[in-house]
Amino acid sequence: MQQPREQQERSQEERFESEALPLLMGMYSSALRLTRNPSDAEDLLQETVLRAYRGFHQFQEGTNLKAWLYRILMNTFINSYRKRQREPQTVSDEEIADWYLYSKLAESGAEPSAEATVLESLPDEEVQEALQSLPEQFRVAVLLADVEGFSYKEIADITGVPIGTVMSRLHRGRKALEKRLWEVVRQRGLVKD
Amino acid sequence: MTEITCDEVLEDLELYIDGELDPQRAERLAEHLAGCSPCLRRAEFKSRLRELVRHKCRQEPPRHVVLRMRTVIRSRRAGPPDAT
Repeated sequence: MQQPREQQERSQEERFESEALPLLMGMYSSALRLTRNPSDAEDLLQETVLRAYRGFHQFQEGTNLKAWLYRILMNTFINSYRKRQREPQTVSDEEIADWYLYSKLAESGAEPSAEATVLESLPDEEVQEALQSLPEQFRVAVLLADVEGFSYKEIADITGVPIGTVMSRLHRGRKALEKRLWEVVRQRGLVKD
Repeated sequence: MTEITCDEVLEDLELYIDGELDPQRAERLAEHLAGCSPCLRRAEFKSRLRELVRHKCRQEPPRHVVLRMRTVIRSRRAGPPDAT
């Protein structure tokens, strides 16, 4: 007959496999956006999986598991991978107006409903590269908000910065992304300049 | 209810689309959008941009990655306790 502790561990492992592991698999894509290469992304994901597995007994059931896992991912990334990266060229974002991309597309003569359609026709890789080219703080904010759908509060918890800082990085990060996307659209000749 | 201006709407639009605007202001903004096509077009653009970034920047892990993660967990279970 099983001891209660063994039963507890077994059910914890089962919960990890059924609840945490699927979420962790879904995080490969974020690991890739952060590390910008598949080999490092795999290593980062593996380290995250192991830390989550070891620490799972500390996770309070019923609380936000996805945010808990992302916190581990971000801490692991910062501790192990961030130093190795060459920081991309910083974008001077002071000059990027609000509604930058919308205005540029409208000015180019694109039909109103076609403004977003032009962007939708971009290959996935080019949009991914645009995101990955952003400086880290902007990239992280846009990744967590726009790709992964976290709230400002959740992002603040995951990254350990105040909500005001999250909002600022997100706002500036989105503008920087718009600027990159406009460059891609122009390079591909998708609009009249 | 006092009308809000287009300028006020455009300022709050990002918060609104993020679902972070308080319910009262969100309701006023939604009402404005229902009756103002220039603002509505911008709102729809921002929404679609968000959606396409989300859609294009998420990808499924390759099969070998899935297998690797499962193997890592299984070997943890089978192996001796951590020396940490």
